[in-house]
Amino acid sequence: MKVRIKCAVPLHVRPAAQLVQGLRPLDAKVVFAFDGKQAPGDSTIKLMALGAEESAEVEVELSGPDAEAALAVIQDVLEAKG
Amino acid sequence: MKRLQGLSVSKGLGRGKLVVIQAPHESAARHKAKRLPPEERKREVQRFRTACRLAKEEITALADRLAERAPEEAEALAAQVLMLEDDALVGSTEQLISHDGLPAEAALERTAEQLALLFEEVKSDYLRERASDLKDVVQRLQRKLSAQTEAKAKTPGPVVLAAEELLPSHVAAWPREQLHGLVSAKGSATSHAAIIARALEVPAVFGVPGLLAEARPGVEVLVDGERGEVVIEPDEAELAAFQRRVQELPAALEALQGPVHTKDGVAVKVEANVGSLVEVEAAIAKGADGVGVFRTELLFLQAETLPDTEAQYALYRRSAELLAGRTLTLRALDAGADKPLPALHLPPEPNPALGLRGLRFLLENPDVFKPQVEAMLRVARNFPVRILLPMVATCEEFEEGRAFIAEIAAELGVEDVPVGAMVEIPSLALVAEEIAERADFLSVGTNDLMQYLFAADRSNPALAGRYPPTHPALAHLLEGLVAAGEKAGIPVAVCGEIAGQVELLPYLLQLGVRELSLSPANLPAVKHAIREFSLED
Repeated sequence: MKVRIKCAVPLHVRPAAQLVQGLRPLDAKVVFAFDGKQAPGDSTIKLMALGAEESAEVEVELSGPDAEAALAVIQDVLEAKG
Repeated sequence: MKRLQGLSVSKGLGRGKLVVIQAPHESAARHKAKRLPPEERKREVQRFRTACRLAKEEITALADRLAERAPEEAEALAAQVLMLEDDALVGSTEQLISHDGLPAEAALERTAEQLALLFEEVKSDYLRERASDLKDVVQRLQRKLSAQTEAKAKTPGPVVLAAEELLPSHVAAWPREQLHGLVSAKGSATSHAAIIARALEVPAVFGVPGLLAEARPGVEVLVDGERGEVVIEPDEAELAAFQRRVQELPAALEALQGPVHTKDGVAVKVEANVGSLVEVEAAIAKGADGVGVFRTELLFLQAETLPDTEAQYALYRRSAELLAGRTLTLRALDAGADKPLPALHLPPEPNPALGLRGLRFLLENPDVFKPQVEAMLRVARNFPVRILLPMVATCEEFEEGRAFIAEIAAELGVEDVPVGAMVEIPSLALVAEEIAERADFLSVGTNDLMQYLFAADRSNPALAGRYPPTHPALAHLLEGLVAAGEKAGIPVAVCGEIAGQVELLPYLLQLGVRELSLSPANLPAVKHAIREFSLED
């Protein structure tokens, strides 16, 4: 499954940490792509290194049994308005 | 003896044995060519894991120590803990050890180089800044690794740490009692290590070119955070003079406390402009009669969601406690498209200096204004608090803001909290008498007032110096405001940069200004200058 997410919050330390911690218990492979770079959903450093600021559109590729749940986590973190 | 000049980033006088922190590259390079035989790799991975654990403990301990006095720094350190759990750093390094047989130091360095490349391409300044956190994490790990192999005995007694670029982890590796000074060839007052130095009250001088060429480890060093000087291998006369100053320093600071008068007996109130707890402490140490402007933007500056009433209340209350009875003037959020406050999601404006900012913004955004006012009023129950409204354009706007506060005050049952207006738009200065009748106090923000008065962007270097603060147009407005304040019986303070400039003090006092609010760093000089000045001369 491939989706595009428009970030309501910039992908800084805190959202990156929330993503990593939210995705950790799920059985899903998640890869983010932005600006020609890729980051796995389990790396705070690589997620930040994407450089996705507010209103950036990131591409997310999800697979595995918990892919749907993983998408919900991502939407919750990145699309939720503060 | 060698005397080097730098920039004072943390006040005080310190003396100790020099400890030079080398960049970890050299130790890593030694390991580069080596390949470990398969049977040693498992132990090497263990050694790396131990280093990670020790680094994590060290960061957590420092973050705890800073949580109250420098919360932003504590948060940046918490992010470093996450990096130490990150597969991109830890997993890759372990892979290079167990698969390629690299020693831990070399494996870590290679991983770090690859990650640093990723950050270099990032366009956002904020995120590039995080690359320095990554560098700090890596250096800390390298030191943990080399400490295991070399087991170097630490220097006993007072030390002065020196490095090409001093990082928070360097400071954290030493017990506070042993740290008597910090010196860095690079770095400024806003670097992480400088903020930590001030929070821990360690004298520090940064930006000392040629430092490492001059300094040999183990020699005696004096760090003069008052003058921004470093003296390497001081002679006996220098040491004696230094010791005298160490003894006199508390008395000199003591003399600055309390109210000041000019030579001919005119009382002048000198308050401080601050934006954080560390600055509140500095203001008190430097003899502020109170806080004239507490800029509340800092809590909002890096937050991705709006700080709630509780977080704001905790900060304001702690500040009021530290001030111990002195007045705390809390300025409501001065938000606008000219300042990046991510949690507010402000749309860009074609001309932010003239846009929806200050009080105008607050009146349009009660969801931001209300929690902040609640936090301020709750502190006002037990402490002398005043509320200051930013960027007021008209008396009507001020009344609207005042009514908003009054309504919340009634809900909370808080009475008699003074509400004042920032005078920084000429339209308000021109109706000085009307606003003085409505406000409980006025604070004249001369930076913005001059910018709007002369239609001159103050950050534009092409215009620098063209409109001096002594220009008759500004003098006229200031005079009018002071006179209106006297007539209405309310205090009027000048709180722009000009309030901290000793050479402008006679000008302001002659215009009738009797209250100033300025940066803590300028307090001693201004208080001293007031004592030396006479209006009768």
